[in-house]
Amino acid sequence: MITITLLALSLSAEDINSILEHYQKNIDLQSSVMEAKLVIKDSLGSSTSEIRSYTRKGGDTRLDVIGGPDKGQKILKKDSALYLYYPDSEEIIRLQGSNLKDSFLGSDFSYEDLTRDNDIQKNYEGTLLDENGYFHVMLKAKNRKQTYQQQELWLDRNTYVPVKTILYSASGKALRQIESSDIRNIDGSSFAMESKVVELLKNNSSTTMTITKIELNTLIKDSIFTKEDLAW
Amino acid sequence: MTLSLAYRNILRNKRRSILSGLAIFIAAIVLCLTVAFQEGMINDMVENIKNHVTGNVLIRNKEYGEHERIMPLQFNIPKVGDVIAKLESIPNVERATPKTSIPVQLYREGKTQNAQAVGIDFATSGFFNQKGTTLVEGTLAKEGTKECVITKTLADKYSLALGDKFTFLSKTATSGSNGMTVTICGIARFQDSDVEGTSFFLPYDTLGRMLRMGDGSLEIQVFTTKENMASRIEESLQRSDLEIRNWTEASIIIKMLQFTKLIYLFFEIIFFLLASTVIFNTTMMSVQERNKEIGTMVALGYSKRQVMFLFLEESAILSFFASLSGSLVAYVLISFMHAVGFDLNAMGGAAVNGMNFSSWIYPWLSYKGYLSIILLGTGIAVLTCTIPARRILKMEPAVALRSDC
Repeated sequence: MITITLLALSLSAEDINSILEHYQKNIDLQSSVMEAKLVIKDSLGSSTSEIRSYTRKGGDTRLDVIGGPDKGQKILKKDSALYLYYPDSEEIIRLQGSNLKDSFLGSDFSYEDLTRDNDIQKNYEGTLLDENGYFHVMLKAKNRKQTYQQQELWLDRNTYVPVKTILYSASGKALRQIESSDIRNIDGSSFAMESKVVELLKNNSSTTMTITKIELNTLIKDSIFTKEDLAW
Repeated sequence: MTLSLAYRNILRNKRRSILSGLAIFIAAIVLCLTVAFQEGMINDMVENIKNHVTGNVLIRNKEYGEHERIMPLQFNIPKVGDVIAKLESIPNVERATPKTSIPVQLYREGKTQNAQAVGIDFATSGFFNQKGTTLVEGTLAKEGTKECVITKTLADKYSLALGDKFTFLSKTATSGSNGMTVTICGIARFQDSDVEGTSFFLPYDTLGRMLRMGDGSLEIQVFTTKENMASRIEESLQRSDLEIRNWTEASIIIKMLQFTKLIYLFFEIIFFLLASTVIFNTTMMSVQERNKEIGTMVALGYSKRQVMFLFLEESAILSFFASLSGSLVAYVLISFMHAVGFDLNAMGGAAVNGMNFSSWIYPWLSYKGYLSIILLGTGIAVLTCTIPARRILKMEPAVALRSDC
């Protein structure tokens, strides 16, 4: 009896590791260039912005605002540092400390979200809560550095894309909910083309991101990820 | 008749009369000075609030007022130029000027510091048309440029000089963020402690562009030649989306000041009551010492009430002249202090930032103020003396005539 229980537990542990491996594979790309539309709504109104993002292995990210009221702004995340370029500013701003918690383009994403380390297996311990319908997974941070100390995921059983995610604070308070839809397979990786982020601590606040263009494992010039290039 | 008698009685014992009046005299000086400081401070605050915060009438977007706590910049007054043109055509409106004041972050050497960006029309704003504001260096910023005027305090704090540039960051009307680099074209010194802190001024259209407000501004300050013009302006503008308030309603500080004035009046009364105890004592002693005189007067046909009024007249004359002379001395002192001024910061005034206090106070008391102190001093002294004087009403003339004094 004990042997069977141990075997079941070990099988379960293997399962969660395999699930997280698949999940990681979807977000672990050599590089990507993506264009997306952000529709930001709150109790006082709504606005739309368009962004183009460049990412490469290692986490370097560059975001250019290509449409909407903040057109021309650029953001670079490099070596865990975040730099902002504003067309009216003559210097590149390095964002740090509490400013990282500020909203990105007024959306429900913070700058801190952009600087997150995406290596789930390295930073989180996973537990499979349920596998009926979706893989219902709870991730607990291995260290205090992580912005979200807990993440609750509902992963699609076929694509391992989270269709619903709830992000929690250290005290266990639900902060944000992300719902994803329109899952597509692009060059062997699965992506949700539409995601809706709801700030759970605010009333009537949501951001819907729709990917309009995506290229994976494409060659991106190194200069894109330099501070100097931001001002060009 | 009794008045000249009362006057003679006061002069009969000059030393005691002077001593009695001295308390009222000192109280009048102290109260005049206190009220002059209070008035000077309040007058300056009112001036600062009108010039820097409200104007005579303050106009804002109604929805901005409802959500002010979260500073929703999207609820600005669009096409502010058109609204101002309409306002300036209303009789008794002297001028209308746009203003957008928001907390921002100064970006200096990788660090951010809190500051206040104020977007104004330099030609019409009350900020640079006020006594006590000095442009220490440079010029005012020109419309549409990325120039700014900073306060002397800000210049000293961050070692900024004329021609230097700095970048500031802010939330925008579209809920995003923006940054702008501006060049310092002027350095000014303000007496309003709220402004002199870490404020900097730039053209309202430049700030509006940076905040994604287009041709809008958060507020319009209307300066009028008549008070309480809000309802008249409301009728003329016919704009239900705007909140139009008189300066007395728009500033919470003014409401607090009105209450403070009542508290001061209470203290004035207490102070004069304390000073009147000396006259009270003198009157009581007089009544006791002048028993025979009271008896004689009643025997000669004066009514007891007339005799009592004689004593009260003595107190009134004494306290009136004491209050008058105290006020005259105070007038000389206040006139001197008004010309010289007092540095409030040197007296710990920095602790009251946030209430539009001026860093320099020029004590001032109106003639009405002097008159009210003289009347208050006299009135309270006479009222206090009615207690010992009423003993005369109970006195029997025959008993009084037989007494030793």
